[in-house]
Amino acid sequence: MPSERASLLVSLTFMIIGIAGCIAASIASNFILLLAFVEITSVSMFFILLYDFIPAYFPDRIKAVSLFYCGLAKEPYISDASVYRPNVPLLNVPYDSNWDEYYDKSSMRVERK
Amino acid sequence: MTAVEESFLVILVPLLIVLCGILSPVLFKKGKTLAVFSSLFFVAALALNTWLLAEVQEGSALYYPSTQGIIFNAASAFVVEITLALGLLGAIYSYRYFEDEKILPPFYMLYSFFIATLIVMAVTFDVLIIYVAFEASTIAGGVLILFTKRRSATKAAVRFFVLSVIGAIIILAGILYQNFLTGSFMLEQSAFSGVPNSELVLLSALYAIGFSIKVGIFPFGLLWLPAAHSEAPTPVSAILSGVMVQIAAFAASRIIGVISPLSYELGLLLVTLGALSVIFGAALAAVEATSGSKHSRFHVSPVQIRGIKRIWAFSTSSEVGVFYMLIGLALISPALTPLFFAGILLHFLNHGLAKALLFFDSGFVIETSRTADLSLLKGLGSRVSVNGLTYLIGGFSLSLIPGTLGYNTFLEFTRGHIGMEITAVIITAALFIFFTTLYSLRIIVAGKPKAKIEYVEGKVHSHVILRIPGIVLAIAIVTLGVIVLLGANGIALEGYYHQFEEWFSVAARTISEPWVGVA
Repeated sequence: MPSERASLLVSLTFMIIGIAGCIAASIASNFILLLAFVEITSVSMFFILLYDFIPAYFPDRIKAVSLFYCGLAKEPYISDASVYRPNVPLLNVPYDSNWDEYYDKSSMRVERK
Repeated sequence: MTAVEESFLVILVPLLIVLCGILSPVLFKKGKTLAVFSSLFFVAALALNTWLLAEVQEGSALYYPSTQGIIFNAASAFVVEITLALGLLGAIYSYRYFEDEKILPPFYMLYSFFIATLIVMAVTFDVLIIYVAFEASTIAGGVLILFTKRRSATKAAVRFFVLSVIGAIIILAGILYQNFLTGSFMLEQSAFSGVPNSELVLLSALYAIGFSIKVGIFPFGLLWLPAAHSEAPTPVSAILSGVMVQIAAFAASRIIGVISPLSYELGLLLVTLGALSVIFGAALAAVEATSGSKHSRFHVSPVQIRGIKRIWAFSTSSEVGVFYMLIGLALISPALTPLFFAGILLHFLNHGLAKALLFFDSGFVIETSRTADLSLLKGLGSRVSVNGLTYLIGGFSLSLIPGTLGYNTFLEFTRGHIGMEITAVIITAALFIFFTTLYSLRIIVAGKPKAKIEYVEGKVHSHVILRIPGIVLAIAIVTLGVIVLLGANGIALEGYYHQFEEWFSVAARTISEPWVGVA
């Protein structure tokens, strides 16, 4: 399992534990425990926000070639796409480019007049 | 039964839905069995809630583990009933909606979690539990929007997430302020009795503004609501629009109803915000239908469209305004609060069913035509079949046409105690929606695309299951609408109508009181 996915799973687990704990602590009216669980939830939420939402919202592609400019100018052994290619955040699946323009490109051809 | 009784069963309703989310994806990976198993959980929760709804008649309530925990009273159980019914239809619909079966397990997991958080929001008088459920629903809802797998859906999810968190922070400020004033997180009218009115007004304003973001009130709603509701997968759009924003409005009405500050100005502010939402939302829905996102704005993609789901997303932004108008009116005329709060429950029913129907049918049109853009839609003609009629019924219900549930809202806003200007706002919005319904249906049935369209043979198919939710909801809207029409005008079924009215008048009081009127 890639380390990114593992850390995401850990943060999601913490978030769920935090939310369940918040509800339980609210019902039990234990304010100290509640604050502790709120803290766990918010930290894991921020992790997910910083780790998934922001990179996906502001995708930052790195020019692989430029990394090698100051070196020996050898052929880069990684491509632009492999350096940074965000999937759908959290779902870890590729974007469905067929529906990018709000119609299914695999089912219909559109020639705009 | 006595006014309030302990019952473990009340916690079973959200628990069943959470279990559905955990067990279904773990036990089943295949789409069909997963959908059937998940739907069975929803059916069980719905049956249990129906039984609880019958148990909490005449203002009584059931709680677990204490009165500070989960409380099922008439208003809460009613709201949960609609949530579960629409949740069940969404669960059935989702099975055929997603073409990639691999994403069904995580979808059902999050979908169930989302519904459970909404239920918890409706069944408590503890603001902390409401807050936690509010946050949890934001997370689950935000991720569910992503299941469209379109880049613009990511932008919509981020908007939804960020604005909901801003709303939650304002609510959190209100919660801490409430604790400072009363020393409690519970919503009890007695706790607020010794607090000066000016403090109550400030507290109510904090809650009203915080919740207005999640409800989608003007101007905040326009920033996230059209984007999120139209970019989300259709079953999620139906729940976001038909349930989530309404439960947020229900929670706002519960909190403000309990605090009940005496402030004409705050009431007027809420009525004004509500009225602006009603008018702007309805007008933008018409603009979207006729000229598209280029003019209606608030779009998250560089590709300009005439989005069929965007029309109904703008309409949601309009309909939620009615809730804030009713809350504001209750503050302006405290003596008539039960009447306005009954209006909130009736509008919850009408808008919940009608909007979910319109989204389900819009999804059917999108899946059949393979386009979400009305300007590329080649009229479906007879392929629409019965769903053309159900779409019309949904639109008519939002246009307050007699014979549909919307007639209830019409009666609510044309009674003597409502000012002419408010009636005018509601009627104007209804006319916009009436026009929008007919105009969009005309395109769906007989539209001519503004581009040359060629379908790849063998790729286009429609699913019968996608038709079912629309049909079920249309039958419910017309059946209840006919009872209201005949009963309210003294033509027939008066007994049923009066039972209906009486039940709502008691249930309305249980929005802001855990239990009423029982020894």
